[in-house]
Amino acid sequence: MKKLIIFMVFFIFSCNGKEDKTYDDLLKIKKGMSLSEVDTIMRNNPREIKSAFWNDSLFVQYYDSGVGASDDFKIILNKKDRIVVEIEFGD
Amino acid sequence: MGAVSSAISFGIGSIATHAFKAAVTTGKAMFQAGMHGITGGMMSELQGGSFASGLASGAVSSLVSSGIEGIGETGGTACVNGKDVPIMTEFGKSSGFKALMLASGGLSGGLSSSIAGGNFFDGVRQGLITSGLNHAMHSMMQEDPLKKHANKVKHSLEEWEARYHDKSWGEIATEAGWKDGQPLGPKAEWRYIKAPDGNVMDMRHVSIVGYGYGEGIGNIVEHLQNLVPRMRPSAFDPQDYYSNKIGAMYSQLRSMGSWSSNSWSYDFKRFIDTQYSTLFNNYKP
Repeated sequence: MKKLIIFMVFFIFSCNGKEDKTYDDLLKIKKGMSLSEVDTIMRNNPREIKSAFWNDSLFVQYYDSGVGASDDFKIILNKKDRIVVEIEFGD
Repeated sequence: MGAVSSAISFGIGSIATHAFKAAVTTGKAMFQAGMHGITGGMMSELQGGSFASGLASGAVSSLVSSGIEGIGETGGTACVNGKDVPIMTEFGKSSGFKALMLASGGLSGGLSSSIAGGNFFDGVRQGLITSGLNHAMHSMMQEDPLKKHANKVKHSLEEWEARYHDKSWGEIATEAGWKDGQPLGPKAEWRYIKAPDGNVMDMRHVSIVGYGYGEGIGNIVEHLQNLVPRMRPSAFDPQDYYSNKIGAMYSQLRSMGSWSSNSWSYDFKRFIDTQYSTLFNNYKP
């Protein structure tokens, strides 16, 4: 419980400049965009890029989402044509 | 003629949803009102009425329905099985909301038709078609948010139980590691499991938030997420509430002690097999 309270204090007062920037950029990403368009818009680099566990024809770019979000920001693209198929804003 | 008008009206909703986002926006509402006005006017003229009264009833009832539709939405969207769907408020999920949308669409159609010099009841009919087949039907056809991530389910509950049979709750909760002092739950491909009714359980929320922290804390987290812009899209997620509730109910029953074993996953499967259908029979997100 103590850990949770500390986490919540961090959560409310956290200032995540880098992650806020990523979020702002993510709002500009639309389905159907190409990877080069994504690279132009996103000012921060993905922390990790790997194949989607649920579909071998997709790959996922993971971006840090900051304190308070348990899931990463994600841009999911087709491997074949490198087109954005989904954008996830964490959990 | 009614069927043709209905089909056109339904099609306008589909085009608007495709061209704009799923949630109601001013641009989408104006587009729909314009299209419904034009088709309403044409249909009215084909049936011997005036173009102006048909245009007025189609456009005004569309605008009124969009306004009501907006009240029923939070403004955010969720990606369900790869499709963006609007997140509904509690009021938006109720049958009263759909009835209000239909009634207001019909009444505004009749009134605007009368003001434009047409027949009140012809306007009501056009308004009902517009609000019913364009707006209400599209709202009703939203996909179930509890099926969100259905495309990411890789394993059955039986496989999940077997994998974690000899693992403690702590080992399951921390399998994917930690972030900001919080455990991240099972590894990604073991995170989503189907319940007996086809809904998808997010085992991170089940095991950590619902089971570990309790439903009340889970609700607070959803509200806190709404306070931070970068986390707002994931706030008030029906999938989170549902998974949290499963974890919380499992925790309560397991802590009673009469049927708990040393295996968290074994007890969880038994909870789902024996209690889920009763506890979640009428569950609505």
